[in-house]
Amino acid sequence: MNKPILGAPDGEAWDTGAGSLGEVDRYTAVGKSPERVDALKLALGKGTYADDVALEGMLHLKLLWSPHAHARIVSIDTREAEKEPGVRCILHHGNVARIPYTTAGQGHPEPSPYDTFIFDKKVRFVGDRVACVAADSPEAAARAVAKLRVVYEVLPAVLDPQQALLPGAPVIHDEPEATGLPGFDKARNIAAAMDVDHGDVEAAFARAELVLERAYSVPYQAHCALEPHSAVTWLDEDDRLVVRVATQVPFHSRRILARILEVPVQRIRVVKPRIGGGFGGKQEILLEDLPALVTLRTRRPARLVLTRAEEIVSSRLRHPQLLRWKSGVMKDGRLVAQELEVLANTGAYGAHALTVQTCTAGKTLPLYRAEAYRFRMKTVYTNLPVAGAFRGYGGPQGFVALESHMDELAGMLGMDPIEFRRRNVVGPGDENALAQALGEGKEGPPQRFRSCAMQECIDRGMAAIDWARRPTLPRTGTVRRGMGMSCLMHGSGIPGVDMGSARVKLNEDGSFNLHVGATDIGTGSDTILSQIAAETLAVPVGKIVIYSSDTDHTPFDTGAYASSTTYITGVSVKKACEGARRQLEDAAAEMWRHRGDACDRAALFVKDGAVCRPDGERLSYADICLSTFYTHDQHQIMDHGSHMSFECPPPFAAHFAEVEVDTETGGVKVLKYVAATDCGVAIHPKSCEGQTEGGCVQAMGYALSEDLTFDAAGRTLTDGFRHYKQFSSLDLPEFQTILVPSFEPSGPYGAKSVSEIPADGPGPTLLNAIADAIGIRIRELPITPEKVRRAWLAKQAEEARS
Amino acid sequence: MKIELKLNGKDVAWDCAPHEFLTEALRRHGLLGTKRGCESGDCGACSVLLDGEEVPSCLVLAAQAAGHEVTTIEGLGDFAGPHPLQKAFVDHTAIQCGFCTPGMVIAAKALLDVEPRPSEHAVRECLAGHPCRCTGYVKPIQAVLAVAATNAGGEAR
Amino acid sequence: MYLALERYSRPSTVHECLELLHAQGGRAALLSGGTDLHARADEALTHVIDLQALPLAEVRASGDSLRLGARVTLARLRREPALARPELAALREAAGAYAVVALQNRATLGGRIMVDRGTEDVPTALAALGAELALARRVDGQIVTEREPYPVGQRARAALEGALVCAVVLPLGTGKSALRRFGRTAVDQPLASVAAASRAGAIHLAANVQGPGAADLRTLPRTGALASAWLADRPADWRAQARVALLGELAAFEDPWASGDYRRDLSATLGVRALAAVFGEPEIV
Repeated sequence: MNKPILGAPDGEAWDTGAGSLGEVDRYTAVGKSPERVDALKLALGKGTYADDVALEGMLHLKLLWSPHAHARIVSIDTREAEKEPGVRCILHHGNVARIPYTTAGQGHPEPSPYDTFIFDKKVRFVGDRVACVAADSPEAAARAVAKLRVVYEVLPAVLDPQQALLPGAPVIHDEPEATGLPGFDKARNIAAAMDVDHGDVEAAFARAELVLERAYSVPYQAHCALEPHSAVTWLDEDDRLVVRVATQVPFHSRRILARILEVPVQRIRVVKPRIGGGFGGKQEILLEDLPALVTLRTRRPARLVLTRAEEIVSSRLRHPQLLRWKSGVMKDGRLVAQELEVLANTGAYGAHALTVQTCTAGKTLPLYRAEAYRFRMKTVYTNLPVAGAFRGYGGPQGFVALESHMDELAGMLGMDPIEFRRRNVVGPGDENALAQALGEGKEGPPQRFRSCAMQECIDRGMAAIDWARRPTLPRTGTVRRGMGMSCLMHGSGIPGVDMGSARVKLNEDGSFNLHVGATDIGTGSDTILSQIAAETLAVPVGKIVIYSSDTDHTPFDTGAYASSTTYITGVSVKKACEGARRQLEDAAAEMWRHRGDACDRAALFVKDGAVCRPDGERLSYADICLSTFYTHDQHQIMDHGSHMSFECPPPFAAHFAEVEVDTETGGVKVLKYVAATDCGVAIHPKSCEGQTEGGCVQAMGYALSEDLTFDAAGRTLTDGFRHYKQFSSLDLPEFQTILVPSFEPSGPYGAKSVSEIPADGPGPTLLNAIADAIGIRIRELPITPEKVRRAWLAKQAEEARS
Repeated sequence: MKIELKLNGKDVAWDCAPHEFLTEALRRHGLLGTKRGCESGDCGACSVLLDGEEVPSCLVLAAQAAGHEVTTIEGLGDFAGPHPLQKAFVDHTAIQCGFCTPGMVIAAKALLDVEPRPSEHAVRECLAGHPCRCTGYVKPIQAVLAVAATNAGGEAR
Repeated sequence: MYLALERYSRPSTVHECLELLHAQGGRAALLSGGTDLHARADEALTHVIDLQALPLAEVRASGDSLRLGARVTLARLRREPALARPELAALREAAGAYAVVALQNRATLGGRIMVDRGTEDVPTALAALGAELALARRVDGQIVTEREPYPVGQRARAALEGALVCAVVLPLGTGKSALRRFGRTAVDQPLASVAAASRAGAIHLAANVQGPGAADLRTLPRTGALASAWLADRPADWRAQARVALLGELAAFEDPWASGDYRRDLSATLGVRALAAVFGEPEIV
């Protein structure tokens, strides 16, 4: 399993999982939707989140944020602030260590540029850190922040990524310490760059009978996890630093904190409590460094919780991109060449600057077979808020371009858009053409697809939305209707990088403690991993007591990102439980032998919480545990497992939408949305539906209503929920989720990922539906009513002229 | 200043500063089910019942609640006896990260108390003040409708 | 959010309330529903005067008018039987369109009037419906009550400073009214909204988020006069005519959420639709 895989050994059939689907019927815990292990306490409102502790003597932190898009800090005068009663500690660039790092919570070494300091002498966007005050109360801290006197030397700012590349543009990272991977060029404001050719691109375009090239634009998006970034820190009785933080990446947090705080890893314990949503925004070492520093300096507990405005302005956002897609196609509808050029805006710092953009290509280009592919990418710095990881991780941007383009190509060829896609889309056994070129900051392992139910996703989705109605929809008058669709794929973990681990131990009532490094941020992974354990150990899910992610008490996990927890950590749980199962069988065999009733060890099996013999004799886990604890052959039945995969099986999906466009207001109403997804075996189908529904609705906001707006000075104008408009329950269309079965041989019990792929679909699906309704192709998100109305009026004027 | 109110059925008297919002006062007294999500009334995470009506406790000064009846999520049910809405959210997998859940449950209770068999539109309207990035609302709506369906037209529980 | 409040008062009479307000000068604010209190997080505000104990929550119909106390919540406006009349539909719609349920439960009629900066639907409806305000003021140590026409525009609104809105008085009759608004999502401050009302043989219109250089509530008398002639009988192209009239009377207000010309165009569409609702014609053709 742990070797890079491209093809099957000679003579062996490539396992696409098709033969294993029947196994699913025999599962007892997997494929069911039991009550989620944490649901009741959350429904009752139990205090389980990072900010739900109040410690004796706790200090409250407030930050001073930059009012300028680009400025040098000439001086910070803290004297007045220090006089504010209750102020205990003020941090700024003059009194903290200057160590370059990246806030991106990625594996080591991080493929993001080291361009960030805890505090710097320069500020690079409105909302950048300037200083931090810790005081006895939040009110005192806020009053003291208002009394900090900072003199700035304001520098010219650049807010547009194209202008940031021009000679003479302000250089945002002129500090000598900033470094990055090849392609990083701080003098030109380039945080990351990549050029990839696969096959003979020039020849393929030359051969193509038709070539289409179009430009697309996608904006920032704010995560809007309802729980703000929060951290509480303290020194424990052994004088070790404890960090209770809302994070998706506790182990990365510990590693990066150790480096920037100059404290050994062994002196830090990062505890992940319940997380109130992450979506990538908490895959970032965003704020825990500050309370940690305050605690180290004052020896008092410290707390920092961002406000909603700080969340939107000063945490992280989805990368805006300008995309240019060019494709060459034969008149019979065969794609021969695909070319994608991306100019991404990472804002003031380069968190995830390389890898989000490589995923823009990696998730999209290989979806359709072609003879040659080209990818050109630059991620540039600007003096705007910082982009980072966000559910979909480049996919939602890329699919806006790809799937709009596929519709346009079909139109140019006079082909049905679905037929055109079916003709070119990859299937089981196909190679992922770009897997090696687009690794995580290095060459990736080669990939071939195993499970792939894309064609059935299309079939099921078409039936659910009744695609046959499409030609009959009303397309005259003020209010018009249309239908659109898109095909999608994503990934499951980062191949060759992501690693998860688990430990399981038996208790004397036959229950098991399951310790995982994985982080449930609301996805349901605690439940899903418990189901995998229950399935492997042949016990009900209720017999598994899961504890997730505390760097002192659980084994390592890279974290909750890259759609990896089920696929990667799930296998580690399965391995640990298989080990424990073997130990249970060994112990049972020994118990029987000790009683003079020796049995055939090889014939033993587990069922219903007991080790069983073919003759019907059985020993319950409780009995085995009691015996091994206290009586005979004394030992703890316990095992651990680790898993890393060189494979990255994509989930596939087909999304369909019906929309209504009011040509007078420009308003777009989503009437019906269908998401048909092949995520392999759905471990917890209701949770897979929930991920799909949540991901799609989040992306409908990205497509239609969410609009981060800045003034000319780079200030964010939409810094609250009143103006940054997410979809509400009243905006939700009639929604249908379809889980299309497949079996992924490399996944736990046949599973692949499901959590990110829904975010990829609504953008292009709604663009295509709008084009169908009003005959206007919009190539820019968000699809604001004003854009639709303007395009409509322009079309009317055009038609009147001709 | 001294604030007397009826909290989850019990009379309490709290010392509160004039500027203290009800959210803060509740959390300071250990009622952590009332969350802070925006502190501007736009997210619903801090919703409580004030004399039976859903209100954003982040916009109600604790002093304003003096002399009134406040019900928080903790007042609805516990491990031994969860409220039917709490049970329904669990049963319908309507909880993902759970941060919005108490607010949604409070909103739904306020609705069902006056309208035991609401339409789907009424349920959507009652949840519209509760932006949720996890669930996409599908399953929370189902959960509330499921409880409504068990209300035989009489009084909501 | 941290308010620097040092004092909270809950007066039980209008007199006491206005005395407190007077005594505190600019450092005190009246607190009704509190939905916009977070926007007052400035040091200058040290004292809030909570209106909840004042007897201002009555709803009373008397002959040809309806008196709504300033403390009536928007939630109550939505379900109040006394408002279930075709001529008051615009007010019901405005109340129902405000934010979300929890905020409708808190927001009051008087509060919406006092915080309006041309962005509120309730005042837009009130202006079209010909509402009057019952005000109490402290003049030379005495409490004076008076009735004034609904204040339209910045100057008229500024005259409310220091006064307490006690009630809104609405004329009752046989007409119809409608408010049409448009936001990006179902829960959004509108990009624009327009209210239309027929009353005593005439049409009255009001629009918000309009005005040269600044958002403000305005009435649209020229379109109103034109539309009044169509109450009994309308030309086939009345929509086109109304649109032209509206575009001529609406100024273009631009902000980060919409350009001026789009917003004017949108307001014209909403105006035509509101008129159609009043005429009983299809709104979308």
